[in-house]
Amino acid sequence: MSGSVGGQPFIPDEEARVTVVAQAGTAEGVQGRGLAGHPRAAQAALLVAGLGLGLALELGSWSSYPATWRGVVDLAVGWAFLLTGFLASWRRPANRTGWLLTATGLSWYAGNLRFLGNPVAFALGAWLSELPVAVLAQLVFAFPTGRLESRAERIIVGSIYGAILGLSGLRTLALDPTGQARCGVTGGTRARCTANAALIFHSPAAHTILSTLHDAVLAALSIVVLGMLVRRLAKATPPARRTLAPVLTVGAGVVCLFVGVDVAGASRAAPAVQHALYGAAQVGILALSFAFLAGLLQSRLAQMAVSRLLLELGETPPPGKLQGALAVALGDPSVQLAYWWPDRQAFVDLEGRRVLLSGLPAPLTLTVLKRGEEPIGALVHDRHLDQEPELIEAVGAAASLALDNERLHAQLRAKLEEVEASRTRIVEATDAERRRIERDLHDGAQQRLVTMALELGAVRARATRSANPAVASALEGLGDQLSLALRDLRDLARGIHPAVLTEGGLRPALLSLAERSPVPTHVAGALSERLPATVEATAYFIVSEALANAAKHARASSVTITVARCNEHLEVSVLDDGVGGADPSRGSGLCGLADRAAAVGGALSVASPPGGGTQVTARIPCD
Amino acid sequence: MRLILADDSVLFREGLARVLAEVGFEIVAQAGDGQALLRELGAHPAELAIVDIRMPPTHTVEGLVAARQIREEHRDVNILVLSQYVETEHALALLELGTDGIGYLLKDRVSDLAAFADVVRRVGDGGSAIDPSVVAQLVGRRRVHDPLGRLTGRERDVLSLMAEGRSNQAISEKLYLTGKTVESHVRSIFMKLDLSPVAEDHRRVLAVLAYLRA
Repeated sequence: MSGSVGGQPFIPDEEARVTVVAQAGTAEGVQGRGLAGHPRAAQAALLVAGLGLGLALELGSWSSYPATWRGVVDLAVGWAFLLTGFLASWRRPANRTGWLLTATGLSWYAGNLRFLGNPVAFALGAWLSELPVAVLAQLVFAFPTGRLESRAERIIVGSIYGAILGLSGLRTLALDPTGQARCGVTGGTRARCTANAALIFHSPAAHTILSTLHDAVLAALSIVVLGMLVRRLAKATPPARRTLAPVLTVGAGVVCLFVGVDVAGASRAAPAVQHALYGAAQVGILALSFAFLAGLLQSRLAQMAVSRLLLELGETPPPGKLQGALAVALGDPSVQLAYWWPDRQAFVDLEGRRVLLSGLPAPLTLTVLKRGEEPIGALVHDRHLDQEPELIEAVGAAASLALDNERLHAQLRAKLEEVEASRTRIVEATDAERRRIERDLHDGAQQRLVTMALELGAVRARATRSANPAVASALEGLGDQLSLALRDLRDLARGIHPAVLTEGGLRPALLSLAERSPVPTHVAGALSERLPATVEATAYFIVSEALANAAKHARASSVTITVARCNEHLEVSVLDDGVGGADPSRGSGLCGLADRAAAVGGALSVASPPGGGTQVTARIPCD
Repeated sequence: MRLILADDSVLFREGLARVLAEVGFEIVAQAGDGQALLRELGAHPAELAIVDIRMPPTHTVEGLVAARQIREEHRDVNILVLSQYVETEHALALLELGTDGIGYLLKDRVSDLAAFADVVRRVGDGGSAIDPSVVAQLVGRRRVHDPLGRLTGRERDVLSLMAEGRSNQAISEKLYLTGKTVESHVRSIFMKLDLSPVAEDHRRVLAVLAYLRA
């Protein structure tokens, strides 16, 4: 597997327990969470109520706006949040972002309480008029999961709530709207000013001080928020960035505009400037609600991703291409694919090796792709893609054919590996068995016959001494028979597995072969080191067979054996100057040796042009 | 002559000890492997150690290893190595330890007691003995340009006996030739093979074997 970004989550492990964390297909289970049984109805009711409340409050305070468009924009911002909140909750019931959007929309109209002509409502409105800013901040930091994930985020959001509720509250205690030309509202008002029920400090100076304190603290917090947002965007993984980018960009813009509003207010800039900045900030906030929705519902892009994926995969994608195509389709370079192997009840990689899917490193998570109830694969991906279950589902469905294809490929690879390994083991076992037989012969039959020859010799000597020529001659005949039997046995044992190969290695064994060869044979090349027994035996038997062929069929006058180790391979070749024209597919000897070479991962080649001699070359890996 | 035997086959070892004792050798000790052999040698001085090449623990060339150690620790002990297979490689490895008092023989040779006792005596007295089958294989080896083709039949016989480590006198007895004739054959062989003459009998065995091997 390649293309891993978040470390190496796949740990091939024969003994691994595979932990399956099924996530696809759990959306239905989560939908039950909203309001008991009828979340969608409750959401719709809340939407209608919110829209109505907003309209009522705006109409009730309509006269407070310095211009009609300000009222329209104000109404539109709240409605936009209510609407996007509803849509978000509808589409992502498990995600709290929708509820936070709705809360922003509802709190949006709190400021309008100030203009209903009721002193208590005024105090409440003055106190809560900036609450939507705090909810928005929470929304931005909690996006896209709807939860504040880090301590720093919880602290900054808590501080904003504290500053806004606390400092606005204090300021409200000193706010005497009746004594002010603009009733304490940025941008002024055309309406009469209501009395403040919470007015305790009748001091314009106190109000100025508290106002300045409020503005300064909020400006400072805004700068911290800005920094944190920039940092978060910079550190985000690509899928996270894709989700966050619209929200954080618009959010940062809005924060900038509010800093501008604060600065303009504090420096008593021209009303037109304050006016324009405030309007722009409002429009920015409105845009923000849609940015949230867009970020949340990016899986609308799933269709596009799927068609791109299908195009990319074609009809029969080559094995291994799927992972890359999925990474592109999901926009997540950390995507890795595992295949379900029903026989083994395990996930395997493309090589058919078992993979461990538990304990994935932090930014990664797992989705099991299923067809019906049966898993077909598992997708390791960035955690942020969990916010786009439709995307994963659609991409997974589109890829299932290719996935099956690759899964079969993975199984084939694994089986092939098993077969190759068992073939190598069989050859190794055969070699070991041959060594054992040779040793048994040496320690058993050969030793007994030699001992017998010794005793026979002694008896013969006694018979000679005691002048019994008939017995002595009979014993001599027996002795000769015994010698021949010993010689035959020795040749047999050498053919099974030459002792010199075990004790001295390949080169002495090849020299010994060359000395015994009926065709003049020269051994070239230096090889002093010992190699694994299977490699030595394979090379030896190949040379032995090739030499026998040269003597039997090639009518050769000389043979050269070359042996050399290059890098991780042993290369042996046997070259004769005979008639050539050998067909390796006909002689079963060379054919068997080609199999043997292949069994240890090597290869045998035969070049034998008619009249041009024969060269048998084996290349065998040494490790 | 005092002998020490090393072989992991008790049956063969006991048989060999008995047979050699019958023809007048004194068997001072027996051992089942190379390390035991060296211990016994320390306790029982002997003129010759007869050693099986393949013994525990690895059953490969323990006899050669023991021979090397004996040469280092007991210079005066001569060594005769027995093996069920003879390999030129082993013969040359042994001769590298020095050509005097070194023998390398196929185990089967024990069946001809008189000849075997002769070799034991020869090596025990500081001579050398290389199994005739090693020599036969080297002399009979097929070569593209065979320099041995320049030798007469007689000269080839003399060459083979030299390669077995025999002295001029032994050669003359074996081939029923006079000492002078053998000497002239030897000179002729060295000249034809372009070898520099070696005075001592047992030094030339290495020169001849190395030549044949090349």
